[in-house]
Amino acid sequence: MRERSISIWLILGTALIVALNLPESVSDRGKAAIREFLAPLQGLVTSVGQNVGQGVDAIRGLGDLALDNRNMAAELTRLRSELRYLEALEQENIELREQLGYLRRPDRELIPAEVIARDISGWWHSLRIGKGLAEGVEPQMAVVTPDGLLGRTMNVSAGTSDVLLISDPSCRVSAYLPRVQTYGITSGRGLSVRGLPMVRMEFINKDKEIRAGDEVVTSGLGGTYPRGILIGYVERVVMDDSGLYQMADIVPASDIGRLAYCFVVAETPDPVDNLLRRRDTMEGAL
Amino acid sequence: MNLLVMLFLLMGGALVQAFIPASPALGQAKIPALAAIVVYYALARRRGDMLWAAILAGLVQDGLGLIPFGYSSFAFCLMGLMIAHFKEAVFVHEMLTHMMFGVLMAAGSTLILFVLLTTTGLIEMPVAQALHKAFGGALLGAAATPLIFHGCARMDRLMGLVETSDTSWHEIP
Repeated sequence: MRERSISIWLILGTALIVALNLPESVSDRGKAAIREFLAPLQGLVTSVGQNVGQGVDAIRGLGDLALDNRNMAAELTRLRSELRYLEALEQENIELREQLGYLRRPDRELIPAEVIARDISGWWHSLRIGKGLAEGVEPQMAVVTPDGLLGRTMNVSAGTSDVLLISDPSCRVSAYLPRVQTYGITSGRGLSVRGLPMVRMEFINKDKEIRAGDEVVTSGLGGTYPRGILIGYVERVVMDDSGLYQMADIVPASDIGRLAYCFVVAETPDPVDNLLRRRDTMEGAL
Repeated sequence: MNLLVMLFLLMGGALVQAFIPASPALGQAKIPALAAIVVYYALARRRGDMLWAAILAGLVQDGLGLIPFGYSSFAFCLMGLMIAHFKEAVFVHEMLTHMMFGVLMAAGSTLILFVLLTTTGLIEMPVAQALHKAFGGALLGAAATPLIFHGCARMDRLMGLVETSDTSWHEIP
């Protein structure tokens, strides 16, 4: 009996040591299998929850429907006219780039995806979307909402992808303040007690005058995030402890808390563009 | 049949854990549904069943999140063995016992995972925040474990895996 007990312990110990030291490829395959198996169920539960939430919202906002409809029609008209103006600008931009001998920027393809689950462990700020390798999603692709940057893809299986949100401390984004033309790096600070996502921009040139409300966009440096995606707005600015840089608390533009859909940005950064951006950065630093 | 019921319970637990959002006031701790199922197997079933449940619950938790494979299994096995060690000394079917072991399991597994994840450099989290998360997990564990224990016991009875009377609990071999 005692010998049997010892052998069970030995087998268990060995199994755990093996599991803790699995090669990444084996671990990824195992995780992908579990995710693929549970993805339909997760999607179902999430969509039921969202439908219930939307139903409650619809009943609550029944009286405001006519006003909402009028506002949305006005917004649609404004956006259509803006789109026409931007199409003309894009055409002009393409022609000027061709005249200057720049390569044309690759087209961004937006892959729409439904949020099927939130992180199960609570150690990361992440969510799972119902699109994966089969739809052209790869690791390290930017993920956006119509309001702005959401995060980047991490683990990708055939039909699902994990998205690390910009509010996670390990999600770092090279950022740019267009008004004062300076760079920095944003990283997540988790959620506030009120449940609002917090992001901080660090390593900002101390001589630049930054104001609350300034737009923060992606710089495009580093390759993962295309240039010019809105990250959020500056809330307050403080000096770094060392006194060498400024830091700014950012309010993310994306509504991270209540999200049903997002878009994966499928774009391969143009090497010539990257070179130009690096030159811009160096000139800015000098 | 035993394994099928276990898998069914774990799938249900995973969905509950994924669907119910974490609260910042509780340190972003998720409701420890999978851990509570391991508590049930540790208190009410044989040690072998508990180990199976702990390993599978860990694999499901790691598979559905960003934690590397095996970490949660390790934490659940360790805490499950500790709880199983005390099961002869407590009233197994008392709600207070479930709450107490729910607290122990949630806080213990959170701290074990914190050590594993920080030592491997996978997360950057101050100790104070981890303690806040462990405290939040403990509160959620105290609330959720009695309910989940009751649900698991009911499921096992329904499937004929255990027999109960007013004073005793027998596993059907």
